[in-house]
Amino acid sequence: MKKLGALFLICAACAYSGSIFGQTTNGAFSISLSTDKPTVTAGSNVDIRIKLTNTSDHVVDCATAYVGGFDRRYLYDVLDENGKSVLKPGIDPERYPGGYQFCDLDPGTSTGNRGSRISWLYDLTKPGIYTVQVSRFIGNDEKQGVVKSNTITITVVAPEPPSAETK
Amino acid sequence: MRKLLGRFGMIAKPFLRAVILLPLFIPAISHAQSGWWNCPNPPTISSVTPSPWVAGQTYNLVITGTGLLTPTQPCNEIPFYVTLSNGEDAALFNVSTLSATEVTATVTVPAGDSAQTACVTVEYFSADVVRKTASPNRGTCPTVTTDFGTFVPFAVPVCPGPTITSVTPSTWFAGKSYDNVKVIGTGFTTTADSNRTGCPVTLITITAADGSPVPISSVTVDSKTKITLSGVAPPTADPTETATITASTALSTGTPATLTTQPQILGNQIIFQNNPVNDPKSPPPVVVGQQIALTTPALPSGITATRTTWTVDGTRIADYAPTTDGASVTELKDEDLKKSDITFYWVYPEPSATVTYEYCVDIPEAGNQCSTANATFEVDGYDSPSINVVDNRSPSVDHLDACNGVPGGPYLDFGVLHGPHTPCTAVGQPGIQFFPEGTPPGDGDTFFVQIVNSDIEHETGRGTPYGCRARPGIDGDYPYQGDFQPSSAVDAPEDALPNDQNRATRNFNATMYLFWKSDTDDSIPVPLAYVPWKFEAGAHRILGIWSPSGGGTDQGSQLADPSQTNPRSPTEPQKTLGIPIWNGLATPTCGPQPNSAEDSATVEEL
Repeated sequence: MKKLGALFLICAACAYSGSIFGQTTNGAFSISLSTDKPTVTAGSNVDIRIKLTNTSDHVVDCATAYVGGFDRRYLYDVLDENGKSVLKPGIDPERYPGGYQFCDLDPGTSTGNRGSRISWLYDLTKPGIYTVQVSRFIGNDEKQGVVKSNTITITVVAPEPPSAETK
Repeated sequence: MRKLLGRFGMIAKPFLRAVILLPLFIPAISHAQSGWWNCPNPPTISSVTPSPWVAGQTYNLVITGTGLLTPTQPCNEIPFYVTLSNGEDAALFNVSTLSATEVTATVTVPAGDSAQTACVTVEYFSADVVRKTASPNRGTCPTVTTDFGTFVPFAVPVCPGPTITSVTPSTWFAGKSYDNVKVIGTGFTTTADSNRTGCPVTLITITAADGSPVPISSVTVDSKTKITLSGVAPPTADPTETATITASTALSTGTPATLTTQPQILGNQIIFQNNPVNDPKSPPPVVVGQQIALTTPALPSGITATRTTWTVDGTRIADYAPTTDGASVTELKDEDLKKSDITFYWVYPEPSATVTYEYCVDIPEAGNQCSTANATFEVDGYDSPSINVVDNRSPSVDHLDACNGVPGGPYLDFGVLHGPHTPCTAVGQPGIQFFPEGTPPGDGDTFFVQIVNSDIEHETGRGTPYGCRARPGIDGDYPYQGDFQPSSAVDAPEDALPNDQNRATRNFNATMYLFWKSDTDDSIPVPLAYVPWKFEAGAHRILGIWSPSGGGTDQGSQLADPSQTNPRSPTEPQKTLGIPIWNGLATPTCGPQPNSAEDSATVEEL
């Protein structure tokens, strides 16, 4: 990639990793993470669902910034069974044209279960058990910290070999 | 014995009765022997009502005549008895002498399928009475002459009791006419028989399940065993009801002989939510996208439809189940329209949508017969749906701040963005806003779905041209932003500008759809309106500073329309019957693009 240096790419990708952000705050909202398909076949798309609930007495931001179904407004920790990140190399989501959808969430309300296609940025093509957790900056100032979601498990299984009849 | 009695019964049976009663008469024998000729004049019978009788029936009789009181000795008894012309006895009981001129009794007439004559006889008895030769009188009743005198029986016609064993055809379709219906049975009285015996010609009546008469005509009693007629099955019969066909003697007195059989009348109904839909004046209210599951009653055992056909007015589909991964329209197929039940969805409002169901069966003696049921629905939809668009027309170049360790930089935005870039929280104003308009027809969700038709980014400058191209598909999530109940939808497409190029363009083309999904069970979302919109944004860098270099937007709200089956240009979403279809997410692919002519040409098309 010509426009950005390799070092910058690594940093850019790290920008979507929640694990590097140690500060967790009981913020103005909570994040509930789920998935419709806890078990998927290797090579298929992997989607998670993120629900943001405003637990404060003021409006909180709930904007999305999709690119390829992946919501860049969250930090992601997608780890394999050894606890290692499975971030795909060489992808900087910020370098993809995307959308930015402003959103205000009233106190006491929740967003829908929004989808985010994590397999766009994370390599989930190998069979195994993966843990997923997302976090979100609390406000404009990243120093305010993040709110983390629950952790979910996604099992990737190998595709079934073709049956004798189909061989 | 019965045969013997049949041959000699007219004479022998009174005698036998006398023998049986002999011990009772012993005291009187001497008187009889000495003075029976002193008995009063023989009793006479002048009338028996009712008359005639029908075989197999029981009647309460009133017998009138003279000398009907029990006489004094030696004329001991005046027993009444009834004998048919075929020799059978009719049981007579409850005999009650009211006066010398009136007696009441009850008679049960033996069953039979031939006309007979019942002889009602009254005579004096004595054990040693001598019967003289009987002679015919009043039809077939012989006169009884004894030493007491001559006793003249009263003849009552006995009409055969009709029975019906079958009706052909035995299955009728509601509302249809049937000629040459054959009623087979026994004991029918033809016109010729009627003229000979005085019995009425057999009457046929057919009664529907609700008790109403079924019109029949051209009734002809062909023989004692066959009647032919024409009939019309009731038009509003239940899905399957049983009519009653009755053969009777139609006598004005007494209980008519009535024997029935039960042809089936096949009706036809369209059933929705467990209720028949048959009143076009009160169509069941349904809404667009509501699952319409229609059933029809099962045919009676042994009857199989040879053909079933549904026709459904309006824009109707078999299914539409959109997800992020794809959406396609399943149209009703021929096989769907040839089943006994059908499930579908109306996509657009229909003030009066007619559904027709026809089935045909082969009926013996009647051939292939078909029946049609109609149902009318009022399909309610969104009132004046539209999308109110606020287009800020503001492609701009904004500098977004660093976030999470990644430096900030310039962005080409359709809208205005400030603050840190993602994943941090930027603020600003979207380039376009969409607001749903209109009133839903009921409870449900009104939501947006955006389809990216094309999204082409191109950068040129000092290095190799670089670009991104998105495959068409859903923008982000289904529904838009994962929200099934949004008050609005906004979009601010943004793209980071590189520091190694000096020109950038982005051409974005999308269609924002407004959907509504009813809360009714198993409903599907239906499109209400849509806004095709696009922008062209450009930026150039001079002396290291990126600045916008023009661009424009275009948009306009339109109603979803079933005639929109194919896109009119490559930058419109695919549709079936006006319903958008897609194949997954709009996903960009980026990389060096040495051959930039193609992209430039595409940009020019926009």
